[in-house]
Amino acid sequence: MKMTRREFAKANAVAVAAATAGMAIPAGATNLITNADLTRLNWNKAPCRFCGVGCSVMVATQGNRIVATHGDIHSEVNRGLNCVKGYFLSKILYGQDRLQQPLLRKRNGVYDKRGDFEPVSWDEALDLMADKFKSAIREHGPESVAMFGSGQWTIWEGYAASKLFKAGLRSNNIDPNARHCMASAVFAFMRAFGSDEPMGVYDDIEHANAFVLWGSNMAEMHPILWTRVTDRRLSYPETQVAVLSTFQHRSFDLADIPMVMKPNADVVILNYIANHIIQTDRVDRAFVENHTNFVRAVDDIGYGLRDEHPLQQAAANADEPNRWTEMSFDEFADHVADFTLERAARESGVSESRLERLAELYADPDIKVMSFWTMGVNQHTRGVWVNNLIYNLHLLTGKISEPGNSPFSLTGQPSACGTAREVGTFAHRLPADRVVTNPEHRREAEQIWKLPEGTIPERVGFHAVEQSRKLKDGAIKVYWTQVNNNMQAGPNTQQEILPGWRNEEAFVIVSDIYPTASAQAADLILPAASWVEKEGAFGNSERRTQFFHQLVEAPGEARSDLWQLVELAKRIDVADVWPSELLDKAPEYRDKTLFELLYANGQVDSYPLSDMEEGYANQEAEAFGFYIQKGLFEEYARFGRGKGKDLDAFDNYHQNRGKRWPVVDGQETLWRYREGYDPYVEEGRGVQFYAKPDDRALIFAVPDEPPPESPDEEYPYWLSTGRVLEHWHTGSMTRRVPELHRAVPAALLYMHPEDAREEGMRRGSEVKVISRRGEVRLRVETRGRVTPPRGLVYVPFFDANRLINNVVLDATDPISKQTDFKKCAVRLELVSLA
Amino acid sequence: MPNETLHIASLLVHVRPEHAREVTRWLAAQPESEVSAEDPSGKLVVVVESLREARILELIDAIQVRPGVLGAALVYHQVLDPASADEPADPVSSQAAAEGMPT
Repeated sequence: MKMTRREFAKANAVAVAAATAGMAIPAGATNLITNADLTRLNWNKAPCRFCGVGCSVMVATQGNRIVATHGDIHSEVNRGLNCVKGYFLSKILYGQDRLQQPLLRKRNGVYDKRGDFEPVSWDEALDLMADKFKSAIREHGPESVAMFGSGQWTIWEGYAASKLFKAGLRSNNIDPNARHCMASAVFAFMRAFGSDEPMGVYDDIEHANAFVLWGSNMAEMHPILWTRVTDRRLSYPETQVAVLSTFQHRSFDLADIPMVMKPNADVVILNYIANHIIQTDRVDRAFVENHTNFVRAVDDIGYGLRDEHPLQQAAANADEPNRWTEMSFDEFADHVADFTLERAARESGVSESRLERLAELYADPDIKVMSFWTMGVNQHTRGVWVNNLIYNLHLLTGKISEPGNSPFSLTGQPSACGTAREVGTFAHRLPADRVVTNPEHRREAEQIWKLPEGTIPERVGFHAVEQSRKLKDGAIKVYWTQVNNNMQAGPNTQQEILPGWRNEEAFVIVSDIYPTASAQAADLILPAASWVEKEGAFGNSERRTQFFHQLVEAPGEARSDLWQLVELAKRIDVADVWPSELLDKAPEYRDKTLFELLYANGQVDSYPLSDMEEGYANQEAEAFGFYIQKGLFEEYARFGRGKGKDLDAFDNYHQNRGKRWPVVDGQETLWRYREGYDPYVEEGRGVQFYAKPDDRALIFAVPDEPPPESPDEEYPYWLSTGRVLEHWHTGSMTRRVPELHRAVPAALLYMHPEDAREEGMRRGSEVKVISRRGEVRLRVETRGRVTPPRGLVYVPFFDANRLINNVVLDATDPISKQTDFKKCAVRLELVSLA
Repeated sequence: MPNETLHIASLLVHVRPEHAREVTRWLAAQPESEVSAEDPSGKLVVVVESLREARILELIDAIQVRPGVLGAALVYHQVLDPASADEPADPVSSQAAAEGMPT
């Protein structure tokens, strides 16, 4: 049979798609075959560098350029599928305005905060940085320097940065942008289970017969995972999907139980469901008695605002919000008894019948239920509580840690789990769930790092929002940002972030691949390498660690974040930044650089270049003379081995499509805490929450408390912010892909058509959105992908020309310090009708 | 015309079964798309052939808003030189195709 190239291509296209969907391959397409000239491309696997799902993509390079990408058919995550962002991955590195050399604000040939950007050499840039770090620490102490990193750092970049700050510079003022994304999830995991990250895996999707979305628009934000949910729903028609949100979005298309609730009503609904489970006598008594404890969380915890704010002053437990006391099951039952169906319906605006159907998904012992949530829950002034309330339902019914019964916290960034959380780049954390406030944890870290006792400071560093405030107040003198764009992504930009960055006392450095809003507000811009321009590793939402090789060279003088961190360390001596008492404990370090202390320490530098896989470039390893990525990874992996966080050997990850930790004896773990699946569970225990001292998970009683700001006469609308499918976060990459930019060029104000009519506006009108903090101009959209209820407006934050975060309140969850981007009060003013 | 390229892509479309016929009919009426396989649970394999890459995105968007459509995901994408698209193919092994499908 002779086929043309066109026919072959179409046959391939059909065969691969059918295989992906588990469908019979249609006749005529069975001949999976292609043209020889098209296989000359060099193909390699890499995890996608966008969201936290962790799809594997095949990347084609020709010469020094990525020319194509497609979904990886060998990936267990995406099984050959790709979303539109993933589809255009090959183009994100090739925007016209890619940064290619360091740029410093200068006047008359020297650095000047009010000067204009001029190109400088790496040596000039790094020498100046080293001077600024040293003089700040000498004059103002280690708390005067800070770093804002990312869940988009590779694992070793986050590890190198965290070690540089916590061990080298002796400052815990390092925080990831995962603070804006996952901090509430982290705190709730630690409170309930004593160990971060989900017990289940994506495989739960194919075992569940009910799915509940608590504040997540998976259809647009995690589209490939949503495809798996959709496939389950269509293949098993008895499957039920419940979607709860403060506005209607694309995920509602699949909903059997659609629910639009009033903002902040999730606390009431979740407490009602616990009450329903108890009232209908569907508590799994044996599970609860053997594996859980009940506790009452402290209430009246404030809103994470500045200390002098009246709402903080009025809160009784604002200083210590993360505490609880023991209680009995009966006391818990009494507590939730107030949350009746009538009350939940009245306060949420969701009908009683739908709420009862939702409650039954958890209460009915024959239903296997998977809960998903992201920013609707985490970006919430009571985000930690809501996370805990979801675990309560799974724990009361024993629907946890087994196939299909799975509370599943989704992540937003490719390595929010792998880097920000597991490496511990938060201001309070150390690797593998350790914290800086625990003396034993500090000592363990110091021992692995070969440091004298007392090196790592005890005090929790400044978290993301506090960093902005401390910059504005003049307490932070040197501030370095890598792989994120907080000038656009952070809250209350005009009142807090911009004044902080432009404070005369601060020297602000931004490493990025494009001139983002943050880069333009900095004093020194460092051009970064991205994604497969370096060797990397990410950890996804289901505990899967995935590696990628360097496949192309970064353009111009752009260098990876790892190279930048290590090069800075070469320019700072230990004696420049350590006090003499500490040097006396370790005189051997007196004449060393931070590079020698942290990276050429006999551990990280113990893997020679000959260990690298043949055929791949590695800019940093070649620059430093040893296989630095392997050295950093193997040193880091020591923290988790034997502690329930075991990672596999470095080299294995380059060969496989990732493994889910704990990886013990080469075997990954799918369901944690369950005998037969998790090697850490002792024989005969069935279920064991072994990260807690008494092996029991905690069920939390929390009350309902109002949000810090609600609509009133002056500011009558709720504002919620978020994302759209085509753009990722602040759009610094996706807006440079012409196809994605054209598809969704500008952020719009989504509102209900009746509200628009009452305001004298219509679709296309230009309006001002005004809060107590700032304003932004946007065009009205009354149709399309997002349908808000009356009284609520929605604005995505990807658009650098329309900074909605000028308007957003910088209130945070008091426990997690994560900002609530989902609710504040605004008013609308018509600019032109259109 | 120099630099002209022919794009061949496949999509997996999920649709509520009761809307499948209507969506299939709509897809068949589009000049660039054909439904190549169908599963009664509501899964369609759609092949797209277009001289403009942007058209593939536009089509995905258009499919997404059809009544009953739950999602459309890209699976495969290959770029051909239209001048030689109707010449006989030069086959290589199916393994090579699976490992590194050209997009």
